[in-house]
Amino acid sequence: MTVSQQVPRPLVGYREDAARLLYASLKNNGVNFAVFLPDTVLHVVDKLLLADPDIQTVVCSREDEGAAIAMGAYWGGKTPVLLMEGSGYGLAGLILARGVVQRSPLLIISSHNSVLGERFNYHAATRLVAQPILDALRIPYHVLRDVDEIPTVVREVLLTISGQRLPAAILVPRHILIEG
Amino acid sequence: MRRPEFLELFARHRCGAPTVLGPGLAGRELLTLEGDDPTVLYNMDMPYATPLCLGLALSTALPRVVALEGDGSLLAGVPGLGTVGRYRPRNLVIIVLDNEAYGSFGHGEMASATSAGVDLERLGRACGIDRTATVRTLDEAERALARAMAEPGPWLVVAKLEAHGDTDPRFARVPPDVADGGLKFYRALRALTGRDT
Repeated sequence: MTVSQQVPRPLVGYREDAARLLYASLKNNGVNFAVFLPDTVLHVVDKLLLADPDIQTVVCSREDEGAAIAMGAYWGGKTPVLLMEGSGYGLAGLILARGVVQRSPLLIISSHNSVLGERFNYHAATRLVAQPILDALRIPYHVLRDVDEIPTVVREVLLTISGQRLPAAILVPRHILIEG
Repeated sequence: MRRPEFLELFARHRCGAPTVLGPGLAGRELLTLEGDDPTVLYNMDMPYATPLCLGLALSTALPRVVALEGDGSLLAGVPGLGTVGRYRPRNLVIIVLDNEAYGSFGHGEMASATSAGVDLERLGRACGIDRTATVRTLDEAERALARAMAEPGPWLVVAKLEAHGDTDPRFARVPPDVADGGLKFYRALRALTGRDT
């Protein structure tokens, strides 16, 4: 059997119920434009968004580019979300700063965080970059702890984004969307 | 072809299309030509004019959205061309002011990669943008802009320009601050897309 003939074996087990809850919370609160750079933790959420004909999706090449695309979509009248690995903050500092200065509402959902569930050393830089960048730009964020809080957090963060006209982020640790 | 001459031509073809400029002296020149037009957003940080316009183009039925980039800005944002080529919004026009230099300081002494043969039009075509042109004269620019602003895109127009510095006293005025300009641009877009009715 060649490599290409092998049946794909998932490297991780996903909590499909949690992914569906996050996706539904976005949709129920008016998100209708999703930009993402695929990553492991958010993979199932990305797939659900791609499959929804009511939500316009764009797969970007870099996270900073994705933030800019999402901001453009907001200017065009959409309610956008940017989904990415936390490492993307390392690239996106400048455009997020521009978003703050220009008061551009943008919901960011990113995987990884500084302290919860970071078992792999190859995420050492990823783990370090997100929260310091958000803190430096004074972009508010919430680190999810339980699946049950997803609907409330998404709804309330979107209210803040809209009311204050600023970017804000929800950080998704591994245990929210991945089993074991 | 000098940049102010090309921009004058562009201003005639723009017809109010929302336009986002990258950083550099082109902003001062277009500001002088266009006045305080809220449909122009100046000094977008490098390299985000094109992706911002991509998001705007994909999310609206506006007939045209224009990203006005320098060669340096476009070189910094090459991955974004791939995204444009993937989604191909028909209402997006990318115009590159290619003077083969980082020309907003030092009178163009710092050459960009296009001076060494990097071909931005071929780069765009390789990324899947098949409506492209490279123009070297005002006549060529006139023809290319007329098509790019009227025919389905996305378009990539590369304007090869003489490198020159900031010595022209006609263009001394600095564009509005980015917060103020951003708010005016947003309000103009709301009006253009019928969201203020």
